[in-house]
Amino acid sequence: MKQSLRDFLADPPEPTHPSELQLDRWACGELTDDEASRLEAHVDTCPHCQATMQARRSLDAAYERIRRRRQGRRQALLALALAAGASGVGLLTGRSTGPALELREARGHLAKVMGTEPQTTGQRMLRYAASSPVAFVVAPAKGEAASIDIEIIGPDGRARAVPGSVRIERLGDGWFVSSEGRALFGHERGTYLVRVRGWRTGWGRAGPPLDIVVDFLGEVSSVDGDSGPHNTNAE
Amino acid sequence: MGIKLTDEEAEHLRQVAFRVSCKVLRSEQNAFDIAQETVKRLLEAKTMPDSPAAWCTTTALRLSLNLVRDRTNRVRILDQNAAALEPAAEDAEQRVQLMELFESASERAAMALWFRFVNGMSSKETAELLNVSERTIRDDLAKVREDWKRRLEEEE
Repeated sequence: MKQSLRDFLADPPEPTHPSELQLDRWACGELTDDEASRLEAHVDTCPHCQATMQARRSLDAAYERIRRRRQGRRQALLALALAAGASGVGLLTGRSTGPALELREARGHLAKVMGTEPQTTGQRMLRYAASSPVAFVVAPAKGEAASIDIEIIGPDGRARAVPGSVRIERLGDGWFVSSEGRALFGHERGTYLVRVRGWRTGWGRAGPPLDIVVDFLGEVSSVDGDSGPHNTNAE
Repeated sequence: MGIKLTDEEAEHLRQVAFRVSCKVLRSEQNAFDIAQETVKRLLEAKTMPDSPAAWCTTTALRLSLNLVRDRTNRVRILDQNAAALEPAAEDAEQRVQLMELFESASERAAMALWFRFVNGMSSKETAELLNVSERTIRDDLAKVREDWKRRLEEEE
């Protein structure tokens, strides 16, 4: 942005250097040999273009840094999810269909779908014992959930603060929420709502709140009839 | 799902989209998200565009501008690391002006302004990218200029 915006708009000049797009097309091998040679010859001798190339290299480094960071985190979380499945974590995956999110049970022998609600609300009722690990993934069908906010609503209908021990971490294009039942719900038996709200897709569109209905059993040794995932709303 | 790209090609195109988006948003994380989405959309396209780089440039810019044009996001984006990313005061001020123009201009005019002013494209290149005539590009920019002048006069 060397020229001021005001001056530019007063009389938009035609450029004298290759545009960013030409440089991109060059990098992607889309130019003919002639075009590439001409561009290369210009860039080699033009201080302005060399500065542009330097700025591009900085952005490329930033891209690579984020790519590696996300790849590492994804691998770690996938490993965690696989380990969780092996140790009996109720793992749910959520995918939105249209405007609403939908949860779909993936694995975990301690989670059991108790009833079904209209799919458009995204509600599922699950049962958890205090010692059960609870984990689910929330992700939109398109784009990525840029952020989410979890709220626990107790049997008395009042919202409770989510304890710091609940882990909410980026996983792929969504968020991986994991906790122990007792950390998430405390010690009071009853029906809770885990409300996923405040999530926005990567494009800034607000997603509707998603309520997961959880029947919290407190300190019990096992969950009735627990022999594997029971998803009565499975696709 | 008719398009096939090698990993290397897809990565080059994500970088193209990332560079475009990063310049608009000044947020590497958001730009990375947009780069992923851009190439995902390309892979879902029915036919391969003549220039995948141009296609990704246009798509990434459109997605980024949509974020900027959302007022809530715009405030967040402008606040985010603004001082660190725009050390020169005049650059920061100019950037705010650009964002304001993006909010009020039509999508095509905003894209034309970005391609011409920031991306350094010619009128011809911009017109080809947006599938309109060079005259339309000039008219769009003239309208942006008039709107801006009017706004400045109102502020005074």
